[in-house]
Formats: sequence, structure tokens, C-alpha cells
Amino acid sequence: MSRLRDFFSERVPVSPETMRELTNEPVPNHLKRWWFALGGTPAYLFIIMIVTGILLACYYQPGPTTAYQSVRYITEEVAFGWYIRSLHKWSATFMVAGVILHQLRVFFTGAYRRPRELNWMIGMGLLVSTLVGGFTGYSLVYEQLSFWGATVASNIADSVPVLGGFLKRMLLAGESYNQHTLSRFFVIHAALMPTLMVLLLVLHIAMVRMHGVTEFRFPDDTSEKRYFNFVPDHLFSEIIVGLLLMIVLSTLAVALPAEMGPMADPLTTPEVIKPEWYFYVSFRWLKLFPATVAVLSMGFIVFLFFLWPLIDGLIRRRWPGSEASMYVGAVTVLTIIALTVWEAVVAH
Amino acid sequence: MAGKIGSEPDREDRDDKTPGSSAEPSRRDALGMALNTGVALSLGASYGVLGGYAVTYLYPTQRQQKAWLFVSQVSAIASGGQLKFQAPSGAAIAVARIAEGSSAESFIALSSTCPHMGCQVYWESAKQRFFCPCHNGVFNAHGEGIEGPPKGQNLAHYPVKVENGLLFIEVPTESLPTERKRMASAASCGCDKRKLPVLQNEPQCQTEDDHEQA
Ligand code: HEM
Ligand code: FES
Repeated sequence: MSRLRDFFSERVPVSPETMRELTNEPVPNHLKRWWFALGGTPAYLFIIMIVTGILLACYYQPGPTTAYQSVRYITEEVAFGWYIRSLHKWSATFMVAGVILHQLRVFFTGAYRRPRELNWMIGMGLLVSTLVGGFTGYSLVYEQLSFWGATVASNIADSVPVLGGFLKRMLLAGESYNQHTLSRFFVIHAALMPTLMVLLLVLHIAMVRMHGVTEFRFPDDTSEKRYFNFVPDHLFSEIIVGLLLMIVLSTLAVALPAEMGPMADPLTTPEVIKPEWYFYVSFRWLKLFPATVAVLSMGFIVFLFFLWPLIDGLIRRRWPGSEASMYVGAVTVLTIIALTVWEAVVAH
Repeated sequence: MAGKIGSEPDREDRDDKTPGSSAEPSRRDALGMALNTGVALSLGASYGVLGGYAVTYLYPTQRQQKAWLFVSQVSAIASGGQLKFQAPSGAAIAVARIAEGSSAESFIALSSTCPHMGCQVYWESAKQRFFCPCHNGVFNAHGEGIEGPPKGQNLAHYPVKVENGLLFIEVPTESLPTERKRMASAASCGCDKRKLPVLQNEPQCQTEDDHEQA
């Protein structure tokens, strides 16, 4: 046993104290509350996505003549293909939800404030890449909704003044959807976004470690000590969350497995067309305003949220203690919920 | 700080060859600096060139292939009448004669692609309008956008021309496979209906088994 230890300590010359210090950060008590430890959930789901995604990629064939058939093959013929695919799909849904909830927590507790502004921006990068990942993944199936979603998205790019046409052609590999389009979506989905997200996640977590999380103390917290151990206490909580997620995802995979809609038909748009629920907001927005106005305003709102910690900083410099962010946040969330519900309840 | 990893030699123990970093700068140092900077910039430039090539590589150059195709004799369409033309993509294009004259101006062929975000509109005969299901765009019978986001934009017209009393239309000649074309080519070459859709316009036969071997 000690020979083994010697073997490794010679080859990995880091002292056990350093190791302990690096891995076992003190965790503030408020992280015992699920709401505050939500960042771990999308991180965990991300790993599931990578594993199931690599498995899917073993059979998936991009291209308009092959994509749909290969997803059908995965779903109906490969052993446990339906399970792998359903896990991938449900994890994607949960991941989007998890990222949004985590972000809401950070926003409404003001945890993005100085000195953590940069980490909020990294977080916004993660949100956007998660959404891009969800969208491009959905397009890969080459169902009717995948096809028309991708067509609309490329025209959204086209509505950007000056650069739009270039962006659209780069995305589609042509003037319109063609036989090279799906390969691009596949590369974005399975190579570009995951790599980008790994980089962003490393930065994100490094920043959390450097600053520590923002500390809160709740009135009902009567414990004498303010911290607990990451290892093993927090680690065990995360393992429990991981197991719960695995149970929920598997149950959903069995009860509501990923299905196949009708295959893409470039000649007919379905009479009722909806994107995934997390794009209902932007879908409704597009119906409300002319194309360029809708696209630019959406981009501008996302940009404002990207910069929010700086804007909030300016507001609070001028009016110290201002809680303007609460109002801004509440109005934004209510608007998003209202537009989402609106889109959900009507056919058109 | 994690502190020193392993046993690193002290700073003083390092042979400091980087020009410009020693206490008294010399002419040789300046030269060396310039050289190093030049090498670094060249590396940057070569990556820049690679980046430029990458963009060129990714940027599509092939324009959409189009061709003038024969529709019918001008005299075969009465004024006010229309005819369904089957484009190579499989799309049915309504070619209407809107005036007596026999020049190209008397004919219109409306595209069904919505000018808003590219979905396909469909004709609602009860309401005498084209409807786009994507964002509720509405067009009148002449293809003018009257409601929804494409308001003020019109459905595009396919270019038409008349030569020697014959009517021609310019349409794309290549398109994505569709279920309909698939059926059509399956019928025309007599293979299994479940075969894969084919690209381009020529009837090819490819069966499910081909796919699985591929
Ligand atoms: C990081 C986050 C990721 C997200 C949010 C995500 C999301 C999605 C979504 C929503 C779909 C459509 C699911 C369906 O309808 O079946 C999908 C499909 C797919 N994804 Fe991912 N994905 C991620 C990572 C990956 C990775 C890392 C790979 C591969 C290395 C991958 C490979 C695939 C493949 C091959 C498909 C098509 C097969 C299918 O639809 O079942 N994904 N993804
Ligand atoms: S694509 Fe037709 S209304 Fe948007």
C-alpha cells in the first residue's frame, strides 16, 4: 500500500496538503439549500450529454438523404438506441431548464455583483451555447420541424443588417438549405459547441474557486460554523442529485421516449409549427415585429443582459443600495413567461 | 497559492538569454528583440492566412443552379386562366395569365416561399388568401403581403419569358429530396417504396439495404 503511495507521490509530486486544499474548499452553509447549488445540475447533465452524444454519433449520418433514416435506425433498431437517444434529448431539456434556474438564482440574489461580473458574462456564454446546442441538435433529426426551424433560423441571421447575408450563407453552406447544410449543423452541434462549453465551464468553475461563492446567511441557520466541507459532504449531496436525475431521466425515457415526427419536406411547411419550448419567446417575438426590428431587438436585449453586472454597477454607484435589478428582473421574467404561455396556448 | 510544485531551481539560477530582459540593454539586445518580434508576428500572420483560407473554404461559391424551362404555348392559357407547372424540385407553381397580351408581362408565376423567413405559404381558398403558418403572414391573391410580419413585402415572382409564342419559366434545377419526389422516382424506376429519397432530379434507385451497408 505504502509502496503504491510512494510510486504515485514520486510521479505526481504534489503534496497531500496542496491536494486537499485544491479539492476541498470550504462551502458556505447556504449551499445546503438546493436552490443555491443549482449550478452543479447542468454540469452533471453536460457529462450525460457528452456520453450519450458520442454514442449517438456512432450511428448518426448527417445529410438530407441519410439523417432521418439514421435517427430512425437508432430509435427503432439499435439495441437501447431509444434509451440513449431519449436520455440525450431529456438531458438537453433539463439542461436548458437547469441553466435558466441557476441563472435566475444568481440574478435575484445579486451574486453577479463586483467582483464577479466576468463570471456572469462567462455564464451568459454558457447559456447561449446551450441554446445553440439545443437548436442545432434538434435540426439534426431532419424532421419537418427541424427543417423549418433551421430555415427560419438562417433567415434570422439574414435579417441582421450588413453581415446577414454572409452569416446565412456560412450557416447553410449555400443560398438555401442544401445537401451540405446538415454537416455544418452537426459540426456546430457535436464539435464546436461542446468544445466551447468545456472551455467556458473550466473558466466558470475556476472563477468560482478564485472568488468563492457569494455568502449568504439565513436567519434560520443556527449552526455555529459557517462552512462545511466540499469533500465529502457536498460531494455526497451532488451524488444524490446525480442519482435522482438518472432516475428521473430514465423514467422519462421510458414514459415519453424521443419520437420521430414526419420527415422534412422542403415543399410544405406544416400548418402548425412550433420550436422547442425554450424558443417560444423568440418565436412569438418574431410574430410581433417586422423581421429586422425583431432580430435586432432580441440581440440587443441579450447584449444588455450580458452587460447587466456593469449596468447594475453604474446604477448602484449613482443610487447606492438600489434594487433596480429586482424590478428589471421581475419585468423580464414575467414578460418571458407571458410570451411563452401565449405561444403555448395558441396554434398560430 | 498552491506554492512551488516539486523542487524548482531559484530565479538566480536561470540562464537569462531573452534579449532585453537583462539589466543593461545593448544594441545586440535591441536586434534580438526585433528578431523575436518579427518571428512572433510572422507566426501570427501565417495563422491569419490560415484563418482567411478557412473562411474561403467554408464560404459557399456554388450559386443555385437555375434553368429556363418550357411551360406551355402562350395560346394554351386563356386570359384570367392558370396552369400548374411542375418544377424539378417537385413544387407545383401556378402560372397565371393576367392579361390578354402575349408578352411575358401578361403572365405571373408566384413563388410560395414567404419573404419573411422562408417558410412555404399555402392557399386558403375560403379566405382567398395565402397564409404562412410560421409567423402568421397573410398575402392576397396577387401575392402582396397584407398582414403579419411580411406586411408590405410580396411573394417573389419566378422570371418568365415568351419566345416564339412559347412560355418559359426560370426555376432552380436542383433541390433537396422530398417525400413526394421519392415516391415519384420509386414509381418510375420500380423499386421499393421505402427506399431512400434521392438527391438531384434524376431517378436513381437506392434501397434501404444499400443504406445499411453504407
Ligand atoms: C452540450 C450540450 C448538448 C445539447 C444541449 C444537445 C442537445 C441535443 C438535442 C436537443 C438533440 C435532438 C434530440 C432528438 O430529437 O433526438 C440532439 C441530437 C444529437 N446530438 Fe446532442 N446535445 C449536446 C451535446 C452533444 C454532443 C457532445 C454530441 C456528440 C459528440 C451530440 C451528438 C448528437 C447527435 C448525433 C444527435 C442526433 C441524434 C438524435 O437526434 O437522436 N450532442 N442533441
Ligand atoms: S416565414 Fe412567413 S411569416 Fe415568417
